[in-house]
Amino acid sequence: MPEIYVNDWPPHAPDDLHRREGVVEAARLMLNAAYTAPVAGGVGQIEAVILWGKHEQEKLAKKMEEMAAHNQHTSRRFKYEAEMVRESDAILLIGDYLASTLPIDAGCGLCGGEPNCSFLYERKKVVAGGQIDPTERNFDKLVDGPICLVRFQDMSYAVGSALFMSTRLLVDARPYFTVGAAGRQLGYCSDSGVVCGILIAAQQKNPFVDIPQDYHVINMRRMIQSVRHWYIINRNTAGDYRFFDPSADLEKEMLQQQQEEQAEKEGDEE
Amino acid sequence: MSIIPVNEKFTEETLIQVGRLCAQAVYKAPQLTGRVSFTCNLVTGEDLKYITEAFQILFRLEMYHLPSLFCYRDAMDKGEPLVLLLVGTKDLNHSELNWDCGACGFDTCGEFNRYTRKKLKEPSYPGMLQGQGPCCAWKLMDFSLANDWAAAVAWQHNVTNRVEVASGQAALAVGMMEGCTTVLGLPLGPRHELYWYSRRGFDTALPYKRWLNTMQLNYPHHWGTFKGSGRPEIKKGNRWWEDMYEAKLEEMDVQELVESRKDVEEDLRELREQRMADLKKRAEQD
Repeated sequence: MPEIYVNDWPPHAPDDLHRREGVVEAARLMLNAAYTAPVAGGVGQIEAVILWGKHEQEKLAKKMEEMAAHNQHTSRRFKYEAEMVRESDAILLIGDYLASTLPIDAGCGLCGGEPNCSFLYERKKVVAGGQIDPTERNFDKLVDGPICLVRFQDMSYAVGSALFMSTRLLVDARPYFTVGAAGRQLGYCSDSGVVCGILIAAQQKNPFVDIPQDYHVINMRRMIQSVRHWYIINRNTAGDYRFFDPSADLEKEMLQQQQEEQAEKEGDEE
Repeated sequence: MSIIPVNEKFTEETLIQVGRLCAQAVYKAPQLTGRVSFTCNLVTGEDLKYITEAFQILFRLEMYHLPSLFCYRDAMDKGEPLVLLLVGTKDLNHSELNWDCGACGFDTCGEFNRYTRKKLKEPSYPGMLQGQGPCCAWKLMDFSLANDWAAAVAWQHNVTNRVEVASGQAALAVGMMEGCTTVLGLPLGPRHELYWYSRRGFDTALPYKRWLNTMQLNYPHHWGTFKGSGRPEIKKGNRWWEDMYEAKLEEMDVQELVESRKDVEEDLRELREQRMADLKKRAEQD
């Protein structure tokens, strides 16, 4: 068996990728749980994408930051959670491909309070005798609403089961609407009018809790950026260690002193 | 059968049940040395107030008692169920292993034991993290992984929890873990997701400006400027070039720290005495 060496630092380096593979395995098992979750009538309606890798995560994070500009009230939420996307190990996007375009038509009233499905149908482009046109895709809002909430409930069971499985697999995971919305904008789960994103990580510190304020500017990545650039600049104050090394001279002095003290002590003992 | 409302009392009973299972996991946890024995206590109801009072005193030495203080106090004020599992041991300050592994910094277990016997005679102070050192590293591992097993059991039962240094220290300080030299706490409950993480008490306990100021003091490089001037300039406000700041190293008043340790020890002694008096009164009433 080959040796599998794991070190979580630096992130995305080969040693760290070994660790991340385990998280992707966990994501696959979480997806099993999502698929076996109970749904009304056992109707298949879930599509999912497992996303991981530095560039893939960066692309999603950038999209969220772009969306922050267009979502005034949730701007900071998009920005903070974009950083969490960068810090996660894998992302599970779960979409419901029926919720927006093929309601259960049960007249339950969950969506708009009507004793029928009129609330939803009156707000959709309907053709050919009660058919919602699925080609009219709306990306203006974060979700292509209104959506059938019975379908959405089914999707919630899927998300819940995935999260439950994450607790059994001892990976940290949290659901995010911002991640799902950005994933949808990027074309992941492209059949779904609504997508939920689950960030998954198996790191020493759960990256989804204890989020400082101003997280988009005060985070590990930015802190390390500043160390790198200020340390490099401060190196310019260094001289030539071959001719000028006062710290080494001090160390020699200390050693000499210790040896003298030791010799004196041994002399006393004799 | 009647309807059983899932209220605070019901949940507290559940938490006690889970606490029992967590304690069971402590005893079942695998050991490297097989030489560590445990004392477990479950603190509930009124008795938690001694823990929060100890937090309030210990906070003067160590800031990490603050988040624990507001988490416990908030739950107790709202009548939210919360129990505390204390896991302690007395076995870490002595090694009978003869492994001579060197982890403790001595060549032999015998030297470690001689040093420890001498060290334990010196007075300890209440700011010590989890109790009294020096500890045998491998026995500490057995103690720690048993605590980890307890937390995992709480997790498997969907009870929010966090292994805590602060409550272990508080329990030691108020005399709840007699005979133990090392204690960790495992608070179980209340009925909130992530109660012990992303702690909401910080919203009021640490106002934004103070928090930002702390960050700037602790990580000044992140607010540094180009050092062409040769001065350690730090950006403070958003229009930082208008009011300039620089970093400084200032000598700490060590004597003040020594004095405050004495004050803390005195206040903890009073709290211990009050607890003993309360226990006596309770025993008389029973």
